[in-house]
Amino acid sequence: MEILEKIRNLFDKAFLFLGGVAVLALMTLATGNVCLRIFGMPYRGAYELVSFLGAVVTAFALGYTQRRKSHIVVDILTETFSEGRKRILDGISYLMGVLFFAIISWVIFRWGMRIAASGEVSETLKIAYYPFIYCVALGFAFLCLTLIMDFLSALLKKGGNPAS
Amino acid sequence: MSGPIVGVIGIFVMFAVLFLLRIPAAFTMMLVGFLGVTYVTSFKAALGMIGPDLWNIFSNYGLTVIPMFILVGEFVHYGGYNNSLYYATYRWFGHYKGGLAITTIMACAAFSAISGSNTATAATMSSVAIPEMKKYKYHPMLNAGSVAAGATLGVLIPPSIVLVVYGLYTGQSIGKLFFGNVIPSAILTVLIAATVFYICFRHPEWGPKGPKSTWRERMKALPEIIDILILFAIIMYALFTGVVTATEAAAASCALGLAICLIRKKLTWKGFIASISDTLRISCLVFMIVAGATIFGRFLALTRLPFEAASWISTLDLPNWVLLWIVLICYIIGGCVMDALAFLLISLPIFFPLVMAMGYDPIWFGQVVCIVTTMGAIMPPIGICCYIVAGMAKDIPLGTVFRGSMYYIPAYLISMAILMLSPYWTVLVLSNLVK
Repeated sequence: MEILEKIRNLFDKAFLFLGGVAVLALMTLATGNVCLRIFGMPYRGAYELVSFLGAVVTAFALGYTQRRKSHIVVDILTETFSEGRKRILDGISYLMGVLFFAIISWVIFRWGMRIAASGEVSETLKIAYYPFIYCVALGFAFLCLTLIMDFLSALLKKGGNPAS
Repeated sequence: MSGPIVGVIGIFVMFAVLFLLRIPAAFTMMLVGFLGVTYVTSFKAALGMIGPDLWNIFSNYGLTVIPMFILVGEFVHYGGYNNSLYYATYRWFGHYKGGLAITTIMACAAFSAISGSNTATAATMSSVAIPEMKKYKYHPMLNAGSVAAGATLGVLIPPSIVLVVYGLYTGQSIGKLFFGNVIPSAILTVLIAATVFYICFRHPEWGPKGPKSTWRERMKALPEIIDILILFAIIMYALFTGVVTATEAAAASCALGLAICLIRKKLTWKGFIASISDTLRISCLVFMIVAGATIFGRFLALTRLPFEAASWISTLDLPNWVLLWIVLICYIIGGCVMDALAFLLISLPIFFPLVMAMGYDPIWFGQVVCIVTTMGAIMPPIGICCYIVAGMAKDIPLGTVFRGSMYYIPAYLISMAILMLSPYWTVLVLSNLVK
């Protein structure tokens, strides 16, 4: 469990850093393109790069958002339940999440592999964009790891309650 | 089983999972949508759909406006502009009866002009306004209620995340939505402020007068408000001219916001890091709700439920305004039991085609929906702004915050009624100016 926690924390920091870099790059690129357009020489690839960076920003924040329990949970009915019952429900919720997002991560990864194999490139810049698809698959895989940790925490009674 | 019935069952299953299993709204919509598509088509088809769908949502250029509008709000928040805005407005309104509550609402409105989130506005303004009102012995209901109601302006006044999501989801121009929102925002802000006057008229002891500032003090307090006004003006001007995209306008205001905070030495390294991590977290939460709603919406579209519902409703012998109010009541009830943005996205696939079939303008409907969604943030039992205010105020019980907020509900209902009475003069007159 401790080793898993250390791995999770390591990935969490790395993904948060990369996501932060991506959001700042997105800001710089979009602003830079506004300035370039003023001088009549807009960067044609900005649209594509901003889109890809947007995907990285969201994908790399998936695990962190789950760790902070920031996703909206409707607990209007369940808030009156006992702590034990809440833990069981949380456990089920985490387990379903693990299975579902593992499938999603795998499906996106496989789709990325297909794009890579076909040699498909982006429309304007003509660059291979499958690495960005892999980033999204990786983000979902990390979300799975975070949910596994949450599931184990709920199971071993170590935190695990939503507390944003 | 016919398609629309599968859709109705899907909606019931989604609500059951949402309310009983404590699974986040975004995950629930995604999961039930995926299972629904599997049922209607096949597991293989559902798998083939979900990968590219998620990639298309995550890499959607239009949606990149969301992290940018959140980031600029975070820079301003961690730059401590909440204090400056509060004390500047205080100089102008503090000496009236209930003046501190008016100050809070006006400062919330000013902060909302750069922040698209009501939770950020609630947290930001609670920390400044509540202690100040306590100091002047304001009644807890007026104190907490005004902060909670004022904070709802965060999602109403442009740049509003709700309007951005609505625009992207329904294919409407964000520029038109933001400009169409100027008059409704002004109407609601004035009505919320008028509610404070009414409360103080009925209970004069609830909001005693504060000390009067000199004109010199008032003028001295203005420069930092100008920073915010510049940022707001840049966003609106850029969207108005249409020379830049919404993402570019947001990114430019972000860069400028960061530059202003750094020049004025307002943003620390710690604040900068917190701005980035909060932006990632909130953007991810919004993106996931959009993704969930898109997948769930795709399932509903496959069942043909939205279209069948729209055509069924159009055969009913009821005036359009009655049908519209039925839709709005659904939003009010929905806003009471779950997060308003999540409910908005769950319901749009059903209600949007319906309202369009009735012949209403999509930009105008966006404003009405935005106000009703805004109201959800102070409605019991899950009004998010009230929870945040109660959390920040510590010694004001949640029940008192909710009771205090209830005074402002008529302001929202009157705003909606005004919008319905004159769609052109309240919304379309400005939105039609945008290219």
